[in-house]
Amino acid sequence: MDTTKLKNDAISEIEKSTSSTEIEELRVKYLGRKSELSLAFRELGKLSPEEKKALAQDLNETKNFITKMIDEKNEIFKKQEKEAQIKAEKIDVSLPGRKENIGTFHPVSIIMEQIVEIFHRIGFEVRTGPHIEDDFHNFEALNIPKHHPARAMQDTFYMEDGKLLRTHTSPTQIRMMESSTPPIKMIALGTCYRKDATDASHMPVFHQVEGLMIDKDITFSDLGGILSILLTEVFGGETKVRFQPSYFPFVEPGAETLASCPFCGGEGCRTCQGSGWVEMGGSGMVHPNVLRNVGYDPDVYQGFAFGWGLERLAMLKFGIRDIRDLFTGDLRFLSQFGGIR
Amino acid sequence: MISLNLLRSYTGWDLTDKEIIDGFIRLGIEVEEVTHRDNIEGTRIGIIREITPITEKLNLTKTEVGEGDVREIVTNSKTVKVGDKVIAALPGGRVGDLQVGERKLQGTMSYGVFLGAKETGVPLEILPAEERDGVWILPKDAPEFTDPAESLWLKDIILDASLTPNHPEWQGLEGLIRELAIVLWWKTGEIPEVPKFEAPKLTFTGKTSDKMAIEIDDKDGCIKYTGIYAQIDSVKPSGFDARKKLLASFMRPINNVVDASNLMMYFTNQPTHAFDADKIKSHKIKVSSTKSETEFVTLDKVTHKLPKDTLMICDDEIPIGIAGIMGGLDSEVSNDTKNILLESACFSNTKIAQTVSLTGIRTDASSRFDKGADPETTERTAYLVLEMIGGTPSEPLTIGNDVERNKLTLRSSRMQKILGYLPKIDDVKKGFSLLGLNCTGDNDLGIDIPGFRRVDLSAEIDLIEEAVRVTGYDNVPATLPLIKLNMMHEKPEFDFERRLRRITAGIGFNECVTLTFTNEDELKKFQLESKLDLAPKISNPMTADATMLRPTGEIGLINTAAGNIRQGNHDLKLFEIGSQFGPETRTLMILLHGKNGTFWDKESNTYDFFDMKGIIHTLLSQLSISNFIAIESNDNPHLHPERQAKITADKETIGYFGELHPDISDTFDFPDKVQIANIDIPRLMNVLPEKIKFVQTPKFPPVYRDISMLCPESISSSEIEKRIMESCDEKLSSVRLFDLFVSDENKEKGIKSLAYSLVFVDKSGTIKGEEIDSQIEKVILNLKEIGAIVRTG
Repeated sequence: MDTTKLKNDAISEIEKSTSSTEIEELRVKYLGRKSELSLAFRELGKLSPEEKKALAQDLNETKNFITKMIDEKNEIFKKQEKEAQIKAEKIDVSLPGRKENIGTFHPVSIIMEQIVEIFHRIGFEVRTGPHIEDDFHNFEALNIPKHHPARAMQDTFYMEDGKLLRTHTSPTQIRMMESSTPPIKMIALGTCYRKDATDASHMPVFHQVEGLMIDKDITFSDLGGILSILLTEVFGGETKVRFQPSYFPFVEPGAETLASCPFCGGEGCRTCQGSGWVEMGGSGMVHPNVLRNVGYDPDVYQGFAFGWGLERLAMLKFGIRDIRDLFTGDLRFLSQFGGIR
Repeated sequence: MISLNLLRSYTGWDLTDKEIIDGFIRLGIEVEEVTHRDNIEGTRIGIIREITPITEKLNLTKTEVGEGDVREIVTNSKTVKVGDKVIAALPGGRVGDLQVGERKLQGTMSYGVFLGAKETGVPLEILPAEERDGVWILPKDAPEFTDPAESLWLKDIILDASLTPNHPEWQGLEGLIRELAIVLWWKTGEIPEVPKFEAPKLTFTGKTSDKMAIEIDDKDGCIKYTGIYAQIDSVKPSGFDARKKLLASFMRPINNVVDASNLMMYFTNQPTHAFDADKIKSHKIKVSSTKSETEFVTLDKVTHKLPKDTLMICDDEIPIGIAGIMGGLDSEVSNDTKNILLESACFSNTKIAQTVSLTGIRTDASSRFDKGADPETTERTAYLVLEMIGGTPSEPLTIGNDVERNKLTLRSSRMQKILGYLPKIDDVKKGFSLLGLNCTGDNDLGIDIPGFRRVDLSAEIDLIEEAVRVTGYDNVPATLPLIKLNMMHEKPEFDFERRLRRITAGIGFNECVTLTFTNEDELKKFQLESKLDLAPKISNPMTADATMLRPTGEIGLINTAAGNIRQGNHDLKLFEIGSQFGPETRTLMILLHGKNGTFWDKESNTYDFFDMKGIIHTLLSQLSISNFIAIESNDNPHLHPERQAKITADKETIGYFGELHPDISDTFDFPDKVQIANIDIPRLMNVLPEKIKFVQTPKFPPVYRDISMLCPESISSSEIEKRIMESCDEKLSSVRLFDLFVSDENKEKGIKSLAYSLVFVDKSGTIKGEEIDSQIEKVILNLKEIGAIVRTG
């Protein structure tokens, strides 16, 4: 056979080939089982040893030559084809990604969680209590006897069995003091109820945070210190805090706490009605009668309590103007509070 | 309502409006609203000198608006008469936003206009009915030619203040003036002279005791009763000065007798009441409490059912007034009254508060008595009232005594201990003296509490608060307490709820807070009539839709979901951690509606039962609860009867889940099916594993075997899983359904096709194929018993 011609044919065809598929076809044609070369190798046995040796060497050289050429060419095509494939895999990165649903905390929960964390950091424990309370824990023990005019300040829902829906979280104070001895450092959180007609700042159902600290030397000034911590943590370090006299039968001295308006920083705006201050809620020194009602000696133990509305804090923190927005559950409202904590 | 003109008319102190308002706020008088009464400018009180009709409807008047300054003013009023005093707005003046000018009316020039009460900016409800329409005709003694903005205080600043019940004295002008004195002292550092309404010297003719007997039957209810019998000249409308003060105090004029009583109540804080003495037939006033429920008509012509033990003023035995609250219709002063009995009494605050809270009748008088009136001021106020009314009073008759003054001590050491700082004692004494609390001593102050503070100031702690108040709440320092550390004994519930909130939000749910109220109709709408008895009922509901507390928590979430659908929010993953009642418990509620994973390159699935089941599985796995089983149930009438299950773990039922009943879903027009879960939080806490049990990780790889089968539709997946597991030994580590298919052909035959993936693990070595084969053989035999044909190969 004419290996030179074979080589030349192969060279010519390999050089003309344009893809790895064609190269593979040439590999079969020149090197496959039915190729001229393979046939020639098979015919070798019929030749004399001398002829055989000479031809075998020639055939091997030819086979190696063609194999090498095909491999080299194949390598080039493989590389080109890979590059082409990668190019073809171009995507529009601006198409939207597949999102997981983002869960959110309710703004009242966000504030609640934040307050819990602040008080955990200074060693307070958290308590809760039932929504349906008895008169003793909600009123009597808190120095609000039957028919006391202060009861009119908290219009109460009564249950048919004579119990009531707690008007504040203060019953938790009583339950805490009944069941433990000082030192007490507690916050309580939960739902409260008052017969308030619904408007932009009132709902018949709302949430409070209650704080209570009792020991032998807890003072009114300490109340100022603790509430400063709370407000600067919630609204930021620039927040200023001050007290104003107010009346709650279960504390004395009693105080309304004011914070510099988180919207205008004290300049005066719509939220603070131009005063630069916003009311946060009631507080004061636990009244001696309350201490007596739970069996504490007011000459030995003293301390402070405060009870604030969580909705109000959440509204001030997030700039929500209408309390009713907090209760609609509209997804467009809820979904704004993701990723905050 | 506090008029700054009225306040200033008694003090004349140099304080700006802002200083007064800020000062009040700093003293605890919460000013909620400041109203500027300022509707007119450039007006005069004029006298009509001449009236000439010009048309059927119009009159031309000649009105004198200044000494000799007569203007021609056209009016459409047919009621004005020559000599009437009216308010004339003159050209160049202003009424509201309108400029007053000269105008031609039906060919006649008018050089001004008469004003009605409405145009002056006075709230009409505090005027007598006949003065509300038409030209406002002023009392005869109105100062002519003056500017009524000044002379009638039509330009004023009114503070709407919310007064706390511990300061009844602020309901009287005297109390407010004492506070204002503190404001002035803070400003100037000087102690001002505080004006007081001193008792006038009256000349008495005869004795009240000759005309009337007074007997106090209920001595606990009535502390002191002063009665003064007086002949009066006439009952008539009040004069200009009283009218001005009534306007400023937001009180409606009635007649000179009632007006005097009302004004003095607003000044000294002591309510008085005038009876027509001739209508007291027995000539005996008896103060006693009702022995049984009693019907009584008050002077506002309302019939009340008064409970037993209501303190009454009686004409011997016949009630003529509810003590401290309101007089009766029958003994009211009328235009014909010639003689009055003026009552000035001190009733027990708890007694009046009880009647107010039981009957709901609240009056200006009751709001003073129920917080504690001052027994020391009964005579003084009566004298002030009689001075205003005029006539001939008799010597007063007083039964009962002043209450002995509380003698309190304010110790510096105690102040320091409670407050953590010591206010300057000198400042405390100065402030107290301005409040009428006279102190003795230097370090520890002795104070006799006057009657007007007797209820609020009854213990040392009350004086400590007062000391902080007069020295400024602004000056309380902020310190941090020194405390011993102790280990907190936190109750786990709240922490656990926080954990649940994190997990549920973490798997993509939005937290809601909903109201806990419901009502009978709503429960019926949710097919929950069976829970009606459980739901705690509110005996005094505010609205008809909030009459009870929800026995089923998810009512709130379902309503919220419906609201979202109305707003076009379709795909909902909502949760709430809240309370449900009957009995009260805490609950985690979850709701799913809409489509899962909506995306541009693939079909989305509508949430179904198994999405919710998977979510519960995920949630419980997060809590390391691995033995969750859903057990078929039809306990919940608001859920689809064929698509609901109990949630159990450790054989304890901890809640339920399922699809909202199609009928209920239809009433809400939910486009897709609503999936709901309700998990009882305390029960969930009971099944929490105490600790995570570690199992050594197998060193050898697992072997997987899949088996598929045809089986009757009625066989549950859990039954098949149970049989697979009981057929194998402990080397079978898990069974998982990976395919469920029902072809149309099989559907007719009632057959379904299932495929399970079985995982075998041996801790001690590689499992041999034959070993698994023999276990699979057992599985096949076991499943055959329930009619399942395992397809091999």
